[in-house]
Amino acid sequence: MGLSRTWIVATVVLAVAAAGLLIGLSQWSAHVNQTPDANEPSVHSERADPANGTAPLDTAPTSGPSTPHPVMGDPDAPVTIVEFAEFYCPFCAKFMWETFPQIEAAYIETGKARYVFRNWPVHGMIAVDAAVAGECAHDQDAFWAYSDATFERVFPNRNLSNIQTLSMDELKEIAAEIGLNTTAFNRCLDGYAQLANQCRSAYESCQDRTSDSNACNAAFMACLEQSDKFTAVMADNQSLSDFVNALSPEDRGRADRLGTPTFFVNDRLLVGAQPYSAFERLIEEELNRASSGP
Amino acid sequence: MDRGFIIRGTILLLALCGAGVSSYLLYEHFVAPIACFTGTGCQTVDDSVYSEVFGIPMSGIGLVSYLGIIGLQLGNLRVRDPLASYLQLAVFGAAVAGVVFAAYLTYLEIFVIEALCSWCLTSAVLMALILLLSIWTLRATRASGMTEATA
Repeated sequence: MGLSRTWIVATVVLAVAAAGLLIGLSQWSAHVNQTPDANEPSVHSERADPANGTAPLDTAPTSGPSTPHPVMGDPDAPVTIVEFAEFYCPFCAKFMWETFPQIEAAYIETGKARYVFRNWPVHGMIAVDAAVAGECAHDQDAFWAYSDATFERVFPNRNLSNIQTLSMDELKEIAAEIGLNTTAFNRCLDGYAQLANQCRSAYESCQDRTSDSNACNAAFMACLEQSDKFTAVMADNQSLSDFVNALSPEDRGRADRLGTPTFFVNDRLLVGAQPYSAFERLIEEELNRASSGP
Repeated sequence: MDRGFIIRGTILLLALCGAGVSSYLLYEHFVAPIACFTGTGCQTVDDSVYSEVFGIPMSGIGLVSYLGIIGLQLGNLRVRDPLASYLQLAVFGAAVAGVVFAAYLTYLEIFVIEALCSWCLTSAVLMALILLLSIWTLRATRASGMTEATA
């Protein structure tokens, strides 16, 4: 029997409509995935201008606990990747679990890039506490193991919407769990914790005495700065602020959308839990730039 | 063996190749990295937000389409008219949808993701060949139908 023209036309219309539906779904899905959070913006291409301000890059040539920041990979690698992050940020955990292993395999283990972690606690004092614990682990050259274990505790079963706040005791348990020297680790963390408690009491009595909350906040910060670990965490914060302040007003407007994690591939800014391809593109460009000379 | 049978068999073979390519991409989607003919395009494409539709990998959608075409084409080879004609029409419909969607994916690769994935292009070419051959069989079916009708 012959198929009528009507049948064929109907089939084509139906097929095109089905493909259109699938295309619509694909676009919708991509849109949803591209903006997992309104605070997770896109790739920025601003370059830090060393003449104009400080790029928040780690320039220490060696790795190990003697460096100010945890560093992974060949110290002479042509590309330096700096991550600004904290332990209570879901996108930092997502990045560590999904994207970082690919960067590590392709660029860090092959000596093309070295990786630097710097603190950017944005979730208040709990994030600062965990950042200080990370600094204490770094004293024992164990930051990366500590970081991995901490993310697993903050997000049990890797469920990013289920954030668990860790107590000082739990931060110590993590150190024991990964086999650190607990005496040294606890001394380091307790030193900070005791100071933080004193500063908190001082802050409360300050609030009872005066209605000037800014003065109390400033006194609280000054009190905490007696801890070298707290100071180290805040210095990381400061260098990122310095970078943003050194940008042109136009670029600064875009950088206002900075979120955790924020990355620098050499001096190029990359914000949010970007897919591996975004890193790959920047790293490859920087490798090409390095191999083609200054 | 008549020419129509050979062409239908070829459609079946192309769909089998497509299913193979999709299976490989589906496997690699979960076990990185992909061996690309050229460069790192496949990995870039597979890492992009467009590689999944609400959690379903593109390669999974491709595999289901090819398996559907294989099923329809096997049926077409075994049954008689009028069912065979409708199955042939269904293969043609699936191929039209497949080519439109593959064109969209290729557009994404070139203009949005800016990376070409050789395996994805292979799949697009296979789908286009299936469409061409199914048009040919459809024309043949219509022609023979008319002959029968006028005989």
